[in-house]
Amino acid sequence: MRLSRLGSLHQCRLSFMRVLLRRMARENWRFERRAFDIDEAGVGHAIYTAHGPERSYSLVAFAHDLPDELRSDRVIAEAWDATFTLFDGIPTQADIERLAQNVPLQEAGRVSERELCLSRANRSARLWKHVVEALASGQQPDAAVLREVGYLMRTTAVYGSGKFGAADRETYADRPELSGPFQAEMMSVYLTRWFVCDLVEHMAACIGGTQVVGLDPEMAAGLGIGNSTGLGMAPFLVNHPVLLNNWIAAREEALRCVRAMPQASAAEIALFRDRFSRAQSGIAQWTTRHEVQLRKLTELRADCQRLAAHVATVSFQEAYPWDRLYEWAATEMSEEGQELLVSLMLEPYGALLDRLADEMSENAEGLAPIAGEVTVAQTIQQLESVFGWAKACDWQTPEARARVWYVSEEKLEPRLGERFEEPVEDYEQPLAPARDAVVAMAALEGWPPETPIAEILTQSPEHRHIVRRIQTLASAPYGEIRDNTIAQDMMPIDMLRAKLSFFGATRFDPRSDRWVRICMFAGAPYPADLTAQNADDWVFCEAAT
Amino acid sequence: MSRSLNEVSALAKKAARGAGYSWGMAEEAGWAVWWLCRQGIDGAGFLAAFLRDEAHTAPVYEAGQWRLASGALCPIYAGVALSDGAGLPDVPAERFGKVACPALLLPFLSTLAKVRSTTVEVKTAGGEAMVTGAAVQLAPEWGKRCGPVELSFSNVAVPIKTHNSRAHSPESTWKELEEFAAKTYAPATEASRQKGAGADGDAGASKA
Repeated sequence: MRLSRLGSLHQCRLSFMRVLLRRMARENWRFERRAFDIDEAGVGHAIYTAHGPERSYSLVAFAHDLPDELRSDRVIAEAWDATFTLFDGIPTQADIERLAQNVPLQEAGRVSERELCLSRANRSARLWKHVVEALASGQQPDAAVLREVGYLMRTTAVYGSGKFGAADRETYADRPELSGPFQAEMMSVYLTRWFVCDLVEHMAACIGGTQVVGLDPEMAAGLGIGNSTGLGMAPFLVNHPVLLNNWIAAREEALRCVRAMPQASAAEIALFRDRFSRAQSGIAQWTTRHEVQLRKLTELRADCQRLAAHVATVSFQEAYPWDRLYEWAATEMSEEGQELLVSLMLEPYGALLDRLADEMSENAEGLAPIAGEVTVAQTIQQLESVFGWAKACDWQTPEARARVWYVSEEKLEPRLGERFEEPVEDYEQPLAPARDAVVAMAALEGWPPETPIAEILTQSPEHRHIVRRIQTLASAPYGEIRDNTIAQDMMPIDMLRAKLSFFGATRFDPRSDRWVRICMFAGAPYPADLTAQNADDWVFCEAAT
Repeated sequence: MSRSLNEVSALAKKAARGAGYSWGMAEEAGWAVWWLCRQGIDGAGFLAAFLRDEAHTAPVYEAGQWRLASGALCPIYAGVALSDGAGLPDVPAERFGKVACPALLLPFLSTLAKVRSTTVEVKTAGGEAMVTGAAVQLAPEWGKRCGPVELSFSNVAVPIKTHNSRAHSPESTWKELEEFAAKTYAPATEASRQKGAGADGDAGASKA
């Protein structure tokens, strides 16, 4: 896939948030708030536990009194409005004390294998103040303001799988409830949303006394947890090609199944129309100030109008209705519109498609060994098939090699530098597979074709990384981003959007070419209200009347 | 406190890179440490000792071998050569002159053993280790000291142990590896801070 298409993906029913909620509803998970020990300054801790059929998981939340001037979404921040960990079970008092010493420090602290995730969140300062003041004075906040911002708090990092001492994914990946990608992280965010609602009501009650009212349930349901995502996430797609392949392959297989249907029932068509209509409401409310995203949104809105006109007149009774619709969109809609349509087409077919979510994980452990007996000729062929397009690029030009992905010694913040303007080239991370492939292909041309690649790697170990990658990609055809990741005009937000769409995020709001705000779980039932009926379609807001 | 295997592997990879190995070789070092820790062997300690003893220099290729400044063979290079060659018809080399930190050979010998469905017996002056595709057996303190290594192949069974899920090393080991890893981080400069993350996520924008 190319970056521009990856950057146009939308959530779909295979997205991880939706997979989580469908499971929790199906398995009748029980939820309880075990502690809420927060003072009038908004400082303290709270515990929210989710009980599954076999195991329980607890969000341990620490609330802080953060001065406005210290609030930052960047990795280099050292303090936050709230910090969290997802504990594997129910924490004891000793656990809470240990966590209180470490979780608020985030990267500067350590957690243990009893902790699955580590995260933090900051307030949307303006909305927070508005909601607290409104509720304290006995009134509901302004619905338009809530809709515009979409969240009271946004996470600025959710660390999992072994980071800072947390449990490695391998230690829990065989549990059905955590075997899907990012289920622990999504659970952590889902419980965080509950906490945030309780906290804002608590702060209002501290000021308002007897006057205070609770937040209207419908308004609360409309709020999500925001997320501020930057370069920390961008390398993920490049570093996990098998995982990326599995996500895209599941989506492609789902699409293939739907396109292959000879007919659609009246109920299926009605469901599609309903989701489309509701998606249009969501798109009408989607706000951004980013020039590129604004252009895409304008195109998307025009696409929706074209699609609406088309589905009003097209016959769904003719054979292969979804395939015909897909083919129509391929010439009539922008990439954003096409990907939206793909997501919508999958909606009526949960019973058939939801099982594909079981195939989206990567379960290989460690590093696959390089098969040294593969010949130079075979290796060149493998490189050509995935990276042949890259040979057409002129790698000598500064534009083609303009960027350097590196890690700063400043709190290990991942950054993107300008190769010819900054002294960062020595610190370059291996995130330019297309460039490396072209270099390798040229080098290999100089060898006798039947030579085992092991011999080349002994003498030229600099090609080892790309050779391993190309051998891995043999079983992961969708795993490579078919674009130059160090080009001058490369936008990391395209990578971020791809991963976040698989999470189930909505309301993509880029703040630069490498920073995006999104919303998670907006519209979702809170844990106490979760049922099999409302566990799935919440991501589509109510249709405009 | 223990460390997770993922963070140990990531740290080992960065440490090897910081010591001068290419990213592809550093990845192998990260994996080798992960493999050892999983088997309950102090892989992080071995890597830290190896990088420290070999005076921070990456090996140099001459006469078909990758040698360290001390003249000893690099175990990571020797290891990947054996592992890469596992699927080739050639018989693997059985005698190695001075090899630094032979314990770092074990993960790669495990791959060799797996591909060839055999047990590899590894003899050094300090005793013997045995490794198969799934298991390893060695005397305590085996594999730290530089010296000649002799391989032989057999069918001896090696009992499989439950894998460790955590790595345990003294703080000094982590510190040493982090010092090497730090060489992969670009210095913090004001220009880097302003341009590099491009964030508008500081206090100004957070007011939204």
